[in-house]
Amino acid sequence: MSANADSHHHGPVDWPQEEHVGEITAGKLGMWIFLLSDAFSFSGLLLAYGIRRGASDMWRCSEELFNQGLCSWLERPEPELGINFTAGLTFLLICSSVSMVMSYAAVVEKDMKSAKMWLGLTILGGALFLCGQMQEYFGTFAFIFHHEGLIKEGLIFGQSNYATTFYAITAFHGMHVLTGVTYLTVMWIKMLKGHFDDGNANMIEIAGLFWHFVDLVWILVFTLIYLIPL
Amino acid sequence: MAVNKKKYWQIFAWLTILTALEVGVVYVPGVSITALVSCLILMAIAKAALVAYHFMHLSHETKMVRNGVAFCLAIPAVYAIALIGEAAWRLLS
Repeated sequence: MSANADSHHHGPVDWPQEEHVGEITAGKLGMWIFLLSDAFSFSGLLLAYGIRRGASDMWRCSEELFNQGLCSWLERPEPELGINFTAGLTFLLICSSVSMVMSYAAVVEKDMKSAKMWLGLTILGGALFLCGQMQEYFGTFAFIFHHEGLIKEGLIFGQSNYATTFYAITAFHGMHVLTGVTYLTVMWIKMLKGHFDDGNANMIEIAGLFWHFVDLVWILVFTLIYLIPL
Repeated sequence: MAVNKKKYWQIFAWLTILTALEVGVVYVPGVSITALVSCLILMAIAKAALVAYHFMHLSHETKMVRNGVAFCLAIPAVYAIALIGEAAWRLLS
């Protein structure tokens, strides 16, 4: 049995060189395969969004169109999406991505104090992103942002392609952020217990792959859903 | 695997600059929709590639792994291009 097959081995993994995949560990390769399958899920949603939007004569029922009586099935016009607020959330995810790689780097350098701090900041960034999404949907923090949320403004899931694709895609991404925050919190607890003190950053790198993927997908969602003009 | 913290901060700076440019370009008046959408999509792809290549350490992987990832991600992109092409053909014919 090789040293890599020993599940109780916590030291730096000496993974054998392989002709095609190099020194990539089985866990890392497994995460890549999972992420590619997940990318297909997001691709399906984004392609459906593109097809619906491309085929639509009227994407968002603005106040002007509503007043012309062009969207009689709605009780009120649909709100615009807040670009500046979401740009802030995008920046937050970018910050959490860099704190994730800094945590990984600190584990490799066996600087566990920094590693714990950076990973904690990454989790905080993810949690704040989720709070931002709650504010965007429900106006949970309206006392800070003075915005009552998209649902109260009339953007209701199921009432139009604009609303439905928006919630389906951003909520699916939000579920990934929630999963990522949970995953990283487990890693952080392991770190606090000294699990990575030997400098073996493989598990942190695998968790980081998931977190960076969440960031990468948001980069595309932000552009396609929020920035492309109506 | 060796870590290059300076590189990570450089990538962070690029991601921030590109995000600011993306948001800024939306507010520039007089830009045609085609130019704006092309510009936004190119910047988004550049940002995604920076994250995948540097933060997800694809730069450290073998050519086989890098090409495997790129090939899989190219499938939906090719499908999107085919759909856009088909829609454009229907509009023009």
